[in-house]
Amino acid sequence: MNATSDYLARLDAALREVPHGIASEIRAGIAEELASLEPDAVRVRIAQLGDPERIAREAMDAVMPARTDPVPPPVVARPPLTRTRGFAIAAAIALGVGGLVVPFAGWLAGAAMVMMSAMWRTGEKLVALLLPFAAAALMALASAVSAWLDGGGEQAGTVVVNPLLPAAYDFMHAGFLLIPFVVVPVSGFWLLWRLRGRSTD
Amino acid sequence: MTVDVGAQMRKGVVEYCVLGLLSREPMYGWQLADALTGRGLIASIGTLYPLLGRLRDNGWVTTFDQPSESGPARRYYRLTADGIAQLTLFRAQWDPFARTVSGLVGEKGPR
Repeated sequence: MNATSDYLARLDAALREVPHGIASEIRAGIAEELASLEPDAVRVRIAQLGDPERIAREAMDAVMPARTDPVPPPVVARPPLTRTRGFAIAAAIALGVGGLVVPFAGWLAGAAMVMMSAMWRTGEKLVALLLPFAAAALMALASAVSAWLDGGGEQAGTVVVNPLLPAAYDFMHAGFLLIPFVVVPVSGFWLLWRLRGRSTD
Repeated sequence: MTVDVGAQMRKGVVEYCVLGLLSREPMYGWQLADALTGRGLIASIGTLYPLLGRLRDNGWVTTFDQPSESGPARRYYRLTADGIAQLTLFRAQWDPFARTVSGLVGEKGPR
């Protein structure tokens, strides 16, 4: 094997990782140069060309500068989970219907998530969380007033009560069932509605 | 920390230096490599061909094969009309640019 073919073989091996178009141009350029020289001049030229591995490395660096000068991708700071819309939506859903899946504990978990979320103002959170209690208190008051009125009527003997018909406070007692099935889901839905137009800061 | 200022400057101008060389006469690969490495503008012939590829992709240079007296045909590179126009643009901007930079950085070290 003469000096030219030996050098070209080493060059071919070194250029394996270099993109084909560039590698073949380098190879052709060097081959044509070496083929034009006398044997003594070939050895001088090979010395000038240098190590094929270095030529390949520099070709790779020229083709892909980032390979040796990596620029780290910009780091986009991810917002904390509690500042995301996804967390807020999950919190509102848990608050609204969590109690139907796991009685009370589901609502409690939803309430905790709502309090942790940064997507609502404190006043909004308190409204949503206290709404069921306010509704319950209102119904209890209405029930008490109704019972007092019914009792007062009987004592006065002016109202004849049909025992087969439900009294007003019966409706009030049934109204308590509305809290988990209507009032609490409404509070969750209201929180979802308040989320509109808000984005993670 | 210091950076290789020369490497950054070479990256910005070496393509125009090739256009400048080719504006004098068509040249083949080794000729260009020898001229550029001799002036410290590229590290080796490995850097040259990716550079020539970019110039060809831009339409600034083109190639032709020419038989040589002492071996196989050689591939020569020459400027296209777009390459000449691009070099003209560069020449028009280089002197004012170099003067501006010299004016800003000065010729002496900080006092």
